[in-house]
Amino acid sequence: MTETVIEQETKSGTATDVPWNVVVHNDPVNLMTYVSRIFQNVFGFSRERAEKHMMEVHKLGRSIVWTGARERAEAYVEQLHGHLLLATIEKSR
Amino acid sequence: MQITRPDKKTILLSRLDALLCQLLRRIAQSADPGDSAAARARLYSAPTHDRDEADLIEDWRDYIEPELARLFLSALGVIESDLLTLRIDKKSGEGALSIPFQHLENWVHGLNQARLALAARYDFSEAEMEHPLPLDGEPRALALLQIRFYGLLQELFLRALEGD
Repeated sequence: MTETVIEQETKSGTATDVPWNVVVHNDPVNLMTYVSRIFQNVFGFSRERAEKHMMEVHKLGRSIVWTGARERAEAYVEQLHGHLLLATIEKSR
Repeated sequence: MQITRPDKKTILLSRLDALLCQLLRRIAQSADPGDSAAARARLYSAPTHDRDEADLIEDWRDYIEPELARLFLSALGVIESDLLTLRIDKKSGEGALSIPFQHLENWVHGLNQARLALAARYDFSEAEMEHPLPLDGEPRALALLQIRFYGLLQELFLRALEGD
């Protein structure tokens, strides 16, 4: 089973801020090379890290690609939607 | 079809038969969700699955989706503009298209959008997309051919962008 990799940003908000996850969901149409490229472009991941997340999406159906402040999480989801990936935010547990 | 790189600034698609020329000209039309709720839902997906976040979903629809629509149209506009340069050789009937390298990101995006919209509109399962092409000429067969041809182009353009 693929190990879950969670990218976490150093918290800069208030103590009451709840961290939010950016989750990318599997889509059988998007090419794996395309998804990996978008992860590199949007999050600045290395190719290896991008491919690890891409394979997690492919095999497990979803991958948490970033965790941090809500506003930034929404901005990432907007960017990912701009590249037509299925992405959502969710509260980090 | 042949894909070459005559210089650093250009990708040349040549030896395009009539069918491939037609498929290229259908990219923007295919990427448009039109009246297909399924295609629209795929291109403009919800930002959360959390039912307590109805405000976010509503704001997304009001403010983010129009921005996304502009972004999508912009990429398709570049493709349409490049397609105006598609030339057909009168003797052989074959087409040739020069694509500026700096437009490749727009092409990758537009091809992806067309594939996603077609797959949603025709409700293709993952298994159907992996099966051999049906040859009975029905609309779904043409859509499947488009998805595969656009996927091939997308892959080749991604490789070019990666410098492979």
